[in-house]
Amino acid sequence: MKDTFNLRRFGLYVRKEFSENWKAYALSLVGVSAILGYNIYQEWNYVHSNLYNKKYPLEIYSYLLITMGPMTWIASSYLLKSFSNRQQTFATLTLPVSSFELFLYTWVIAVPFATVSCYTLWKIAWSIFLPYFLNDIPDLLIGNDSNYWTGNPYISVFLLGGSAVFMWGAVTLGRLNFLKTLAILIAVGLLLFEWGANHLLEAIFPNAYHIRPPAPAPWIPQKITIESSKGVFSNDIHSTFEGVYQFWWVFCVPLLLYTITFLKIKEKEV
Amino acid sequence: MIQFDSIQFGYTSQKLFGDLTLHVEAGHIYGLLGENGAGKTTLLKMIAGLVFPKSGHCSVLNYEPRHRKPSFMSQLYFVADEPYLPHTTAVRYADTYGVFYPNFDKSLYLDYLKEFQVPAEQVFSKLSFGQRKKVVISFALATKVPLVLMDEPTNGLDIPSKSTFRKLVAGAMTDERCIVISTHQVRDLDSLIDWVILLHNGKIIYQEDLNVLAEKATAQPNLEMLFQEVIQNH
Repeated sequence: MKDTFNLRRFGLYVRKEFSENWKAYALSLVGVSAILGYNIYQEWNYVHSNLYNKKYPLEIYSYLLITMGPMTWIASSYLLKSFSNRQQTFATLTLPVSSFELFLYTWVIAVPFATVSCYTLWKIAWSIFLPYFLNDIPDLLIGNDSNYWTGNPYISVFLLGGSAVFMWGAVTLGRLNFLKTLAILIAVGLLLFEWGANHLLEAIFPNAYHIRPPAPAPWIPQKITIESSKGVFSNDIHSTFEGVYQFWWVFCVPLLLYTITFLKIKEKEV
Repeated sequence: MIQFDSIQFGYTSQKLFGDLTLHVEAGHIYGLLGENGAGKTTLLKMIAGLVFPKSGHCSVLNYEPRHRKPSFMSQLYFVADEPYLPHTTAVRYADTYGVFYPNFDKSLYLDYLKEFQVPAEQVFSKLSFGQRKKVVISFALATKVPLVLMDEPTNGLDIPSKSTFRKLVAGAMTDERCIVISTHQVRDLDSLIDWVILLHNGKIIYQEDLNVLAEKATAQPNLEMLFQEVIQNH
């Protein structure tokens, strides 16, 4: 067991990683602050413009996701950067640290630490600037749809699934692995949800002369509209992202991808 | 300490090692010699668990290297031909990396650096290749691990440093320790190693105690001539 996880050794590894990478971590927080600053500036301009509609709630949550997502993805890729270079891989694999500890550190920093950091910065930023908004527009509506954050599995797929994919990419794709992973994700997405879905629907409805598939994302319930000689047919197509099947996307897929990444680290040769 | 029996390995379908057998004991400095591409670095990597044999039995310090258990990795140190060093100084490096090796001696490490005339407060990126290599060699010896693997350690070292290297390695040697040095610059190992291992065509073709050879020949054997002689006979 001590060869799998040892708290003291893990602590020493955390210290080593922080002492070597603290500048990058600090820079990422500056980046998140800049994005949040842009969001606040944008909203400030809007509520002070002629286009402002009082029914419009101040949208403060969207940028939390916009910062959290890329932050976890970039962190997942960055934290395993040593696997993109032969010399660094060599140094990492000869360090007396278990594969599990290495993986655990990456996950803790890339997911909980990154998301909590983003949330903290977001909270601080809005608690500073919101009083100024309310001072100028006392009856300002503020979007606080917490259901969207707690009940939407899209968020966990975005964060957990995304981080797992980028970690896997970091261990296997070598140099520029972040861009390569992103390119693969886009290519697979387009292939499956654009080309694949269209061809599948054409195969199912051979007589249709116009098929309009919906947005290319598995978690958005698919609405299909088919125009044929018999009229216009429109229906919701149920997906595995509904009901208990969400468990597959929210839990099983990230766990599977994390397990693959862990085994790739464990069996890595240099 | 190291027991390899009937090891087979190849990066492609072509075998690099076919039926390789090697036994290495503590208390000696082994010189691993071989032509370019003979597989010296690969053999050292296999000992450290960085590449995995396709078949055969492999035991190092009573561990199976491929698992790279921390308790195993903390007992060996591998000096790579082109080592990676983070953006830090030699002193800070000792503080962050030395803690992973239970017997690491920081004062000894600093003494070695002094012997090599490497500035301990200088950031690694400002050091030359040879100086960085000296840092890694000093660190390796100061870890006091039972098994030290060195891949072309004298590459990049100037002539006085090669002499210092021999002195430090010889001084760091104990009965519990084993140092395996792979090189194609056999002259650098003269009067340092006490065992020679020759790797050729995927096999260990020669493994001999140089002290025994010296006793037979009444003189210190010339490694370069010995190497050429053995290779020609195969």
